[in-house]
Amino acid sequence: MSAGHGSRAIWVRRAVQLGCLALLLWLFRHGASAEPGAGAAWWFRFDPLVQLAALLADRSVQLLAWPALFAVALGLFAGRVFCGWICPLGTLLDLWGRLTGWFRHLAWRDRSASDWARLPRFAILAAVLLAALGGLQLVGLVDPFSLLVRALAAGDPPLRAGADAVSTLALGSAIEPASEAAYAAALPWLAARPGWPALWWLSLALLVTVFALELLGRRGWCRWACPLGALYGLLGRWAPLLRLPSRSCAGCGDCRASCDLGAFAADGRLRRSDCTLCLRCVAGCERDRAHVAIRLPQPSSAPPDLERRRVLIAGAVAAGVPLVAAHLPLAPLGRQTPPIDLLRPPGVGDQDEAFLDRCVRCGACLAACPEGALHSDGLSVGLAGLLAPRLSPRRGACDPGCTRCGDLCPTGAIPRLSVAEKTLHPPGLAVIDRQLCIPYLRDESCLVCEEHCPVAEKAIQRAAGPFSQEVPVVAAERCIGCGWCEKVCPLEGAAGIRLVRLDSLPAEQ
Amino acid sequence: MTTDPQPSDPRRRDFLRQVAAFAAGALLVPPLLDLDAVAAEAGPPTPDARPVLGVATGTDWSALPVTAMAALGGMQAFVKPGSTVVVKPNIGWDRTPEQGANTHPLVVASVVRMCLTAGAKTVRVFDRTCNNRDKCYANSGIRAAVEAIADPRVQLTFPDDRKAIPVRIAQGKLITEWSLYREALECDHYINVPVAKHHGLSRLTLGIKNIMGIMAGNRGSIHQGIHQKLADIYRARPATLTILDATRILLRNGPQGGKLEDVEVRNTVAACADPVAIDAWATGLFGLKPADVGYIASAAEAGLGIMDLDRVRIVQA
Repeated sequence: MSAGHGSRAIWVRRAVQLGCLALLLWLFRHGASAEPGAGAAWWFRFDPLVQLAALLADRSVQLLAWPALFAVALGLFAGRVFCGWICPLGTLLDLWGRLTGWFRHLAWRDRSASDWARLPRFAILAAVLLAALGGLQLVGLVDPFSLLVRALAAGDPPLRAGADAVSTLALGSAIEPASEAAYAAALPWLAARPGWPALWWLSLALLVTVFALELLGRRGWCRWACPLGALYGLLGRWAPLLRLPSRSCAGCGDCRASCDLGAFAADGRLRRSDCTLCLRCVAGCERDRAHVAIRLPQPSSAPPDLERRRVLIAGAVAAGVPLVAAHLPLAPLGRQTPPIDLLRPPGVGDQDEAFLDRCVRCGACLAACPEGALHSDGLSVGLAGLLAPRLSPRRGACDPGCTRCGDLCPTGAIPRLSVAEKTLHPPGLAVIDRQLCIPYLRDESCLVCEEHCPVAEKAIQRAAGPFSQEVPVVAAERCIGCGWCEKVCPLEGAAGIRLVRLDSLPAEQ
Repeated sequence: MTTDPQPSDPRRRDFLRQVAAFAAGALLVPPLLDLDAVAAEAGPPTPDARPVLGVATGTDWSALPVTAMAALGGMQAFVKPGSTVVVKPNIGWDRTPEQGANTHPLVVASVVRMCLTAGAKTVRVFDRTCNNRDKCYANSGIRAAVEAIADPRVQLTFPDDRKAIPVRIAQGKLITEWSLYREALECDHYINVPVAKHHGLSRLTLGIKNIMGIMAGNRGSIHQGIHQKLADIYRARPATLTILDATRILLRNGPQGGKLEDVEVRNTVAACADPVAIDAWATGLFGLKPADVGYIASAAEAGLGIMDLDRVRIVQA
C-alpha cells in the first residue's frame, strides 16, 4: 500500500471509528428506552476480556459469549487492529488527544520508547484474570467499555443538572419557550433513569482517569494500561496481517515520530503488541516502504517484543495481591454477609456468590433500567462486590412488567426471565417499619404504599390502626418484591416500608 | 346555565402577566404566584344558580362526551376560538383501557376533537404519571388515540418539574403553597377528564382528585389529610369543565386495579362545570352518597361547588 493509499485509508479508518462510536452510543440510548430491544449490553458480548473474566470466575461456559469468538478471531488475524479501528473509547481518546495535543507537547517528553512502560497493561490483564480465577471480579474497573458505559449511565443526571444550571443562569429558568423546541427534541435522550445514580462520581472519576492519561502521551491509556489492548496484543503475536518492514529504516525516524502508540522501540524495532495498524506510518512514509501485508507466521523470526521474563515477573507479582485478597476474610476486601437491604437485580435472589462471579460490572443493566432502580454498589459486601449492581427501590422500583436487565445481561449474571417467572423470584419482600410508618405513629392518613402496590389483589392490605386511620399490612405471600411501596413512601429519607433480602427473613412456619 | 370563564377577563390578563413575569424573573428568590384571583373568577357558581350536569349513556363511547356536552350547550359554550386548552385525563398507571385505571382513550380523543371543532388554537394533553410515563402513555391507549387525531394543534406532552411554578393558596387550610405545571396555569381553558374508580384511602378517585396530575413535587405528602388538601389544591386551579369517564368503572383494588373482575361496564359519561356537583353525582355510580367521600364535602365547604344533588339540574341525554 503506497503513501497515497495510506492517507486515504486513514480517512476510511476514521469513518469506521466514528461509525463504531455511534453504534455504541446508539445501543446505549436504545437500551435506556422502555421499548424492548438492543442495548449497550450487546457490545459486551463481543468483548473477549469480560467474557474471559466471567468464564474464569464462574468456571462455566455461557452460550451468550459466542460473539466474543469473532473478537478472538480478529485478534488472531490482525492483533490490535481493534484498538485502532473499532474501539469507541480509543476513538474518543483520539478526539480528546487532538484537543489536548498542545498540553502534551508543552509538558511532557515522550516516554514511549521504554519497554517497561508497556508492562502495566500486561500486569493489569494478568491481575484481573487471576483475581477472577480467585473469585474476585475486578475486570469492570479496567475494561474500557465498562468504564465508558458505566460513566455514560452515571453521567446523564449530572450532565442534565449542569445543563439546567447553565440554562437557569442564562435564561432565568431551566426550560423556557425559546428552548422548548430544543427540549422536545432532546426528550427521547433524557427519558430514562430519573434521579442521580449511587456512586456516579466513582464511575465518572474512573473515566476521567483514562482521559487524564492522554495528557501524558498519545493513547496513553492504550499504551500503558488497557488490559483489552494487552489481550489483543497477545492474541496477535503471530497474526498474519502486519505492518512491514518490522523495523524503522536506518536514518529515518518518520514512522517512529508518527506512531500514535509509540510502538517503535529505541532500537527501531516495531513492537507488534503495540501496533494497531492505524496506517499513520504508511501514509507518512516518503519512500513508500512502509506497508501492510499478510505474511504467514514465522515463529523463528518473531520479534521478541514482549520481554517474556519481565512479563512473567510482573504477572506473578500482580497475581499475588488479588489472590490473597480473594481468600482472606479481610474487611473490606473479602466477601462479607450482605446487609439485609442489599438487593440484587430480579431473578438473582440471594445467590450472591454466583452472581458476583458472573457479573463483570459492565454497567449495561444500569443503563438499561427504565426506572433507575439499579445502581452501582460500593463496598457493602467488600471489594468482591465493588460496582456490582444493586436494586435500590427507594430510588426506583423494579417494574413488574419489565425484564430489561435480564434480557440484556451480557454474561448471564442476571437470569433471563419472563414477566411471569420474575414475579416468582422477588429480589426481596416488603416489610413495614412501624417506628417510621405514618399511620402507625400518629393519627394521620397515608396508605400511599397500598395505592401504588401493583399486585391486582393488593399485597398491601388496609387494616384498623392504633388511631382513627387505617394502616398498611403486608400480605407477604402476595408480595412480588417490586419495591413500588418503598419508592413512593412519602416520608423524607428512609421509607416506612422497605424491601429486605429473602435470606434475612425468618423461615416460614 | 353555568359560569362562563372568559379568557379576556382583566384579572386573567393580570394573572398571565404574573406568569410571564415569573418566568422571566430572577429566580434566586422565586416569587409566588397568588392565584386566588383566578380561583374567584373561574370558581363556584352563585348559590342560587343550578349547575347543569349532562349525563350520556350508550355503547358508542366516542359519542358519549359529545352527547353529555350537548346538555351544557356544547363545547363551543366553553372553548373560545383561538384559545389554548389543556385536556387533563387520568393516565396515571401502566394499565390497559379495559382495566379501568385510566381515562378511556376514546373519551380523551372525543374531548380533544370537540375542542378542535370549537376552534382551539392548541390542545395540550398530559398527566403526571405514577408509573413509567412512556408505558403509561402507550399502554393506556391514550398516546395512540391522541396521535391518531393527527392535527398539529394537538400536543401530547410530558409534564416536567422544571416547568412548575410555585403558587400561593392564601385561603388554603392545610396547604398554602404548591408548585403546579405551567401549562395548566397558562392555558385559557383547563378541562379535567377523570375516570371514576375506587381508591383505597379516599374511597373514590373522581374529578377533584384528578388535580394531582398537575401537581409537581412530592405528591405523597398529600395523603396526610387528603380530603382538605385536595380541596385546597383544587382552589389553586379550578377546571373550566369536568368530563367524567364512567364508560367502565373500577370497583375494587383501585386506583390501579389489574383484574378485569373488578371492572364494571357502565357506558356512561357525564359533564359539568361544577367540580363538586359532578363528583357528588358520581358517588352514586358506586352506591355511595356524596358525603361518603371526604374531599367532596371539603370542596363544598370551601365554596368550590354544590354537593347537594337536589340543587343540581341533571339532564339525562
